[in-house]
Amino acid sequence: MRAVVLARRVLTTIPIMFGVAVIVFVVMRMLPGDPVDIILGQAGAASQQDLNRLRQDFYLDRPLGEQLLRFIAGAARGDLGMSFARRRPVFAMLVEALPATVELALAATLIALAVAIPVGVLSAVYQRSWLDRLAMGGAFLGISMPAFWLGIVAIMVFAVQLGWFPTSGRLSHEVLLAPTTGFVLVDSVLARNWAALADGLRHLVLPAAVLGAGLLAIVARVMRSSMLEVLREQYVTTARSKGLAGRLVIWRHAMRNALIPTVTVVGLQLGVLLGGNMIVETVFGWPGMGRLVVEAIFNRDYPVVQGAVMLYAMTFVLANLAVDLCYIYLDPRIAL
Amino acid sequence: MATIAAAIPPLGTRRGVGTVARLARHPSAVVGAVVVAVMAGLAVLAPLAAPFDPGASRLEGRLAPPSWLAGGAAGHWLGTDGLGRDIWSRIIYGGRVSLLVGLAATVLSLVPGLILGLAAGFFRGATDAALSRFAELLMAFPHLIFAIGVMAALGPGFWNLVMALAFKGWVEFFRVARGDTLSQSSREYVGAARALGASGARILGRHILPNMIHTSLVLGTLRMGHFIVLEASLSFLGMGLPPRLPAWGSMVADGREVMLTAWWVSTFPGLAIVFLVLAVNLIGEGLRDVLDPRLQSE
Repeated sequence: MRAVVLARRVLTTIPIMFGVAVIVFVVMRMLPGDPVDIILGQAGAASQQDLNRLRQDFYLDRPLGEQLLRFIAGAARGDLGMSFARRRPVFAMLVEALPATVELALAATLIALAVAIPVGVLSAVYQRSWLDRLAMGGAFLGISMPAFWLGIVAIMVFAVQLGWFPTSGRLSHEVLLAPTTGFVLVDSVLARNWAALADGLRHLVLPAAVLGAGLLAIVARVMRSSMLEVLREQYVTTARSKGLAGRLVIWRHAMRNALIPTVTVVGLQLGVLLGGNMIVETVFGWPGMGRLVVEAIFNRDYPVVQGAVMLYAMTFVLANLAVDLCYIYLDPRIAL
Repeated sequence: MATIAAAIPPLGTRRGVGTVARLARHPSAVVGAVVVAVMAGLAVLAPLAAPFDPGASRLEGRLAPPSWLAGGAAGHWLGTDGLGRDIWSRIIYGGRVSLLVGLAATVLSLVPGLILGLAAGFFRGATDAALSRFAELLMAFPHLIFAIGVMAALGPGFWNLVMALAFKGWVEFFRVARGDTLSQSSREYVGAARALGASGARILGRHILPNMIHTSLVLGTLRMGHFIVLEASLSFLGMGLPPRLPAWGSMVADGREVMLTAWWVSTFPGLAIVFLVLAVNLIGEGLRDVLDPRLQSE
């Protein structure tokens, strides 16, 4: 039964992805400026013949309806077209940029959860203590701080003044690492290149901490409030009255149930992290999808923007699906 | 019969009476309100409060440190930027952009979101299905990328910036209003109003709306901070207002290159953003505690 419900849930993603494709296609076509002029403008003076040939190559001379159908039919096959500006398949460009973005988002999530969950739990257990007030004050500040400013301040303090971390990029120039998966940390482990692993980690910490700061603040607050609710439940009182150690009751019984709202928030925020990290990527010179999209929007490189937005939307939809799956694990009473 | 339906006292009226008084006793909301009031006051009185013309550059005085630091330029108490413009004056004028864009984007998200949410939750059926699917669709777009795309299409400008934020911003208000309307519609008082012959519009406007609007108002205050950060992010990326107008995000971007030698160029506009967003969020939290005890943050 669950499999049927899940299959239905997966199928609902199809009309959403179709709608996303239509919206992104329409918005991109509303942009002022002819992409062919922009591309050939970069290459220097071009004849009318060159312009026409390029328009034909990219089907820009066809009616908009036909262009849209071609794009959707291609996307369904995994063919996202060719980049106008770089004359390369968009799919290949996204595959190259995606690992950097995912690595950064995952590291940010890990840092955020590793700090936020214990902080949220302890804040609830020691409610109204100085620890609680300090943690929630910090969380409130974290929610209110724009990532680009936090990034600049972090670079200034930790990279420039203290010299603990590099200011930008994924690896130092002198460190050589052949890309296998595109994930620097994974590739360096696979190649047993420990110098590259250490260098990759040093490059990752600062942008991941800045990107994760907002999530950390949100998760700590959600964790605290759901933990406070759970601690008042009868089964917690029962576990305590049975003589179970306080630590066991908190970390095993209460925390597992308090995690349910946290999973929802993390799932929804993962999509936000992936989509919103272009700011952090720009500040830290991180060669991921965010930078690729911003550059493509300025170059009117329709296929790249379309492909990237489809990928972002797909990630968001899948993250929602993953949240539902986590529900089943955390609380088997929940039927989707 | 409609007269009797009208006699059923809407909860919102009673709730509204003491809201301001209770908010005035909420310490963090008071702090937030004072900070916002000071910033709004400075922004409104910018021509009087700003000591210099925010656009006037003076290249011989470029990157001058704040007046209270060694080597600081007299009169420029937060220093000058790379074109010799007074940072304090630009922060005061930039506050107009952040406050107005944040407020306008919130109103233009809240009003349609609330109306459509009421309609979807009350009439259900095809209206609800169509609006809910469209909202889900927009949810799949990252807000910043969506706003960048819209800004690229519309070009720089105040209203374009507001529209870029509100195009997707209404979705959250819609979802909350729809959920609340669904829940309120099944209450006995709505059934009673129906039985007494009240029209759909009357039930919505007179009974359901006053009982659920507080959630949207709380969300609106909390979302305003989000819109201010989004506006600053767009300005930071060069996708906000035309470059000649001072905006806090673009001021932070201006100072990035000179952060090592002139830290004040980025730091003070960044702090202004943090203070304003923090203050708006404090008001939002206070409003939530006062209006919606179910959501109270313990």
